[in-house]
Amino acid sequence: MQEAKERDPGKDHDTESNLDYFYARYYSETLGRFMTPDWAAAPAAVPYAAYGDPQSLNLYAYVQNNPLTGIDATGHVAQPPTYPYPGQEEMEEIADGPSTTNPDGVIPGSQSGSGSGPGANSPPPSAPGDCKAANCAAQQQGVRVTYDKGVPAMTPETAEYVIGVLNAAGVKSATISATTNGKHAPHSWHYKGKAVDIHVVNGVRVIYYNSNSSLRAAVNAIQDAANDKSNGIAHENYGPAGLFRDGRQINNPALQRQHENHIHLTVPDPWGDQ
Amino acid sequence: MGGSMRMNKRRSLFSLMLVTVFCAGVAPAAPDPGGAVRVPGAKYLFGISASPQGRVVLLYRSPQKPEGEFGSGTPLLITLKGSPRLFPLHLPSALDDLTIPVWNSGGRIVFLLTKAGIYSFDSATHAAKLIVPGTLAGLAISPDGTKLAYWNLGSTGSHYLLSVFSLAVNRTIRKWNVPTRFDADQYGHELVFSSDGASVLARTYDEEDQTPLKQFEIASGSIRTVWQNCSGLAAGRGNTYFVGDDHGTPTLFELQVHDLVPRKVIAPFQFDSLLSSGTRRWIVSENSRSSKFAVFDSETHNLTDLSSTCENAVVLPRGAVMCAVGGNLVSKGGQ
Repeated sequence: MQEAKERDPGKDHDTESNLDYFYARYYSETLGRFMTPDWAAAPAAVPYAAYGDPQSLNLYAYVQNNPLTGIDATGHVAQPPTYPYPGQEEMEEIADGPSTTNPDGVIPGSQSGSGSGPGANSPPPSAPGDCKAANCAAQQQGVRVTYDKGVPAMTPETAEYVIGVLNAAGVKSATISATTNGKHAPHSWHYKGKAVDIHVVNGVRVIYYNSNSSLRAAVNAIQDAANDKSNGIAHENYGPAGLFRDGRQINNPALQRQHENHIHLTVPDPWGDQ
Repeated sequence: MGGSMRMNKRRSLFSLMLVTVFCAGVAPAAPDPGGAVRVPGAKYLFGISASPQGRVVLLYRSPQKPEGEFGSGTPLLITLKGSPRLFPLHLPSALDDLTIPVWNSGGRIVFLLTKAGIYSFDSATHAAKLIVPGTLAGLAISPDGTKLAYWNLGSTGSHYLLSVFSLAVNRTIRKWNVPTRFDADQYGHELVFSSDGASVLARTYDEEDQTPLKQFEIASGSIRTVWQNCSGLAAGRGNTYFVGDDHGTPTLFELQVHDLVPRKVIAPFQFDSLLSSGTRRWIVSENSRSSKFAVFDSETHNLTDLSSTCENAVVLPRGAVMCAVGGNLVSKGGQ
């Protein structure tokens, strides 16, 4: 079990004051409590208290004095972790067994038209009996690709490359947070269906990279595979393991910081077939 | 650092010789010095910011055409009074991430972001100083010019630090730890001060599949969600504007300073990025998918499409539009 201080997503330690910053208040690690009482923008007697829970009436208490089961992302309210964060032992679970769909989306091979991107009306790239050889092989190897809610399916060409990379890396499952959806840089390959963002690998969020050795190995394997000539070298290969363009490492701390929680891959030679 | 910031006279003379003015004329409707300028060695210009008086433009130039997620360039000053003159700033490069330099109200000091941190640059003496080191993103200046706000991406763990820095006392006076739960590409770290300077408004990445617009009150530290899903944010003259998702319809909203309650201005709004320009009256609006641009007038609420394709744009104080095309800064006439 991790200590509470490692489980909180919403604080940073300030060496000047030796306090931790939350959204709303300072927390003293030494005292194990907040330094100021809880407050609210609008006047209220005990604004963030639950009157049926006496612990919540202690305005200085941190997560109602139960840091092993709660988190406090804002400095106001203790809450159960709704999604795993680095340092937590919990991992996102994705059901075992063969899967052809995600709860709200569709994976290549079972496209039913829910997406709106370039792949939405494309032939399934890896559907049994109706797929390119590489994708059929990928499916037989058992890699399972799922999508976040509302994320359009990959284009067939992108799916073929990404699934090939995931298989080469020995990954069992991956969840995609962006294909053509979302806001990206104006010249992003996402808009052309040539890029994907992967944020869960083998059931674990990529943001756990620094704290989960098995995840780290899997992410490294994916980024290595995307830099491997035998798989085709991704034009853009950005993730916790580093930033690579056409296999060459680039250094940009801000861009690196923005890719610590997902792997961004584009197909090799994205200019082709435009 | 100070020595390297001083203007190298030989280099500036060289730059001056390379400047090519294609059109020295002034658009009749906009008597700003809006000629076209070719920037040597540039194939892409971004982060374009005009001084409040419109006599100087600071921008970043990249030797490569824009492509993919990564764009990087080095800062360059262009004086527009008379024949344009170029002055390369010998500062670190910056990422193309919807961050533009911000000027103090006098129009002499400009603050700009680089990969080393935030520099102040005196456009008269060309003296530069690193005032906030770190891996930073986004940059805003308070209306009275006494405070800066920025994101610090360099803190450890799964969060960013939103900081307010006092230029008067030369230290951080408020910071918030904001989780990063948005597990996809994060483009743009837009933030602005409210018109009264009491709050910072920021597009955040603290939700899994949304980018909420939040108000961070400086005095109390309190935080309020203004809109659940925001794609663009910029300061207008007097009010703040943002692009938000309104039941599936992208909409331009106005936030008036007295209540910060969103009021619809244009729906549907076809642009997802906003950048303040000149005196804040005009807001350059960009559609990142189509790369189409328009200029929104925060005084009249008129939206004017820029007919030709721009890669980036800036509006000078009297309404003249300068459009970046390749390595050129081209006048597009007035608003």
